[in-house]
Amino acid sequence: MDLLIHLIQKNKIDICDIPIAAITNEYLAQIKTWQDMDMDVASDFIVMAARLLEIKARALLPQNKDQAEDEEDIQAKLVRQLIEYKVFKEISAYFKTREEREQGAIYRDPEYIPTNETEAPLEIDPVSLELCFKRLLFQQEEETEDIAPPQKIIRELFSIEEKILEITEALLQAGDEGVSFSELLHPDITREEVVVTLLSLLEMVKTSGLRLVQNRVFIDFQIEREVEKNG
Amino acid sequence: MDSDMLAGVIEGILFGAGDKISLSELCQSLNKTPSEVRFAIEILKQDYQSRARGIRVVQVKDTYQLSTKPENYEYIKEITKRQEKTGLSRAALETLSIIAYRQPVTRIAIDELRGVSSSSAIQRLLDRGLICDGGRLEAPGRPILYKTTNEFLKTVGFSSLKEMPEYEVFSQGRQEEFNLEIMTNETPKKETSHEEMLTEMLEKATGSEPSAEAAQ
Repeated sequence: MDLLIHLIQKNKIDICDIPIAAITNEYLAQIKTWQDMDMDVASDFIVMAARLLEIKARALLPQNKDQAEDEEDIQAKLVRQLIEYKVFKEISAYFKTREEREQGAIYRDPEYIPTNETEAPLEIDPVSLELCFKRLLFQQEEETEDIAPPQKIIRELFSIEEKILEITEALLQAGDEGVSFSELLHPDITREEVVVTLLSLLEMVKTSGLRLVQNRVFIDFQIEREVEKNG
Repeated sequence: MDSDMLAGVIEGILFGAGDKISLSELCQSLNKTPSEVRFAIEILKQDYQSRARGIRVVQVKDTYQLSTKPENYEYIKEITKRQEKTGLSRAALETLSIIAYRQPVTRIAIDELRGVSSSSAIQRLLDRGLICDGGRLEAPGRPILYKTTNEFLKTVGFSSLKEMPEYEVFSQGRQEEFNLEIMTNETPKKETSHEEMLTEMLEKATGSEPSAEAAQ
């Protein structure tokens, strides 16, 4: 596109009235000189070359009325694209001037100021650490006992799509404050459903402006709808 | 504390911190309303417009930071011996322009407009933090949509996207006016007293601007 603009400007051609045949020849000639140097560079231009050749080829062949209209379309599309591209070239020139100007601004590095507020060290004593470790071990044992090899494969009961609808509903009812994760879970929930709920939440965060707020690790978190801020 | 003093305090905060400070941080630590803080910053900006000052307030969205004035760079670089920053490449600038005016936009749309592949340009812009992932397009393959960041605004010296000239300015070839504006917009206009400025701001405020107070 850039090369095409360059050729058009060099030959002082009106952008809406490109002599395709002439420009195609020049375009191909230019690519040829590049091809000797760098295949990667040249390959970028092959799509454009193909388009030009197509327009040229159609112009050379005898054609009925339908095809003539078709050809007009292809050329018109190219012209439209060229004009649009040229606008963005202007914009990038404008951005460049601004960028160069802003490069002349020097900022201070953020100052490091020692503060009195230090993060309180976690209070851990050997006894509680041991207790915690034992509890974990115990839990794990319990869990491994629970898991028997599956006898049959159970159909997936909860789908993410359904869960998303459910959560959306809950959020709508809760209003601005949002709901906490634990509110989404009912007492006799299965592990599978918890997992699906979490997956749905993550999916929603990704797609539809949802915000999760957790004040500390390992505690319940709040789900809010992101309020779109303008500007 | 009157507005002039508040302006001085804010100047101190911005200088002391060096880093950018948000409007809400200022309001909180000074126990002032957003409009009071905004007004004080306007006073500061106004004072900085004088040629006798070498500092300016850089505003990006609702954050503020101090920097030297770009127009004095020639003289500053002599003494700081700062390494010249390299600007963006032509391909990166073109890609950035398209993203800025078409955001959120997919890579394919950019490729189509430029007629060549833009993936490496996009990667460079991502690395420099000028653009970011702005979600996915609900289409086959769920392609990434790109949008510009606050860092982009800072790089090209806009305080918000609304400040960019409209697309039509370029499509109608009127950009010359805007190139001119870059060069002149920081020269002092007429001298206005702070009282005049306040009335001007109040007039503006009653016109529109629900902005930050509502967001707080």
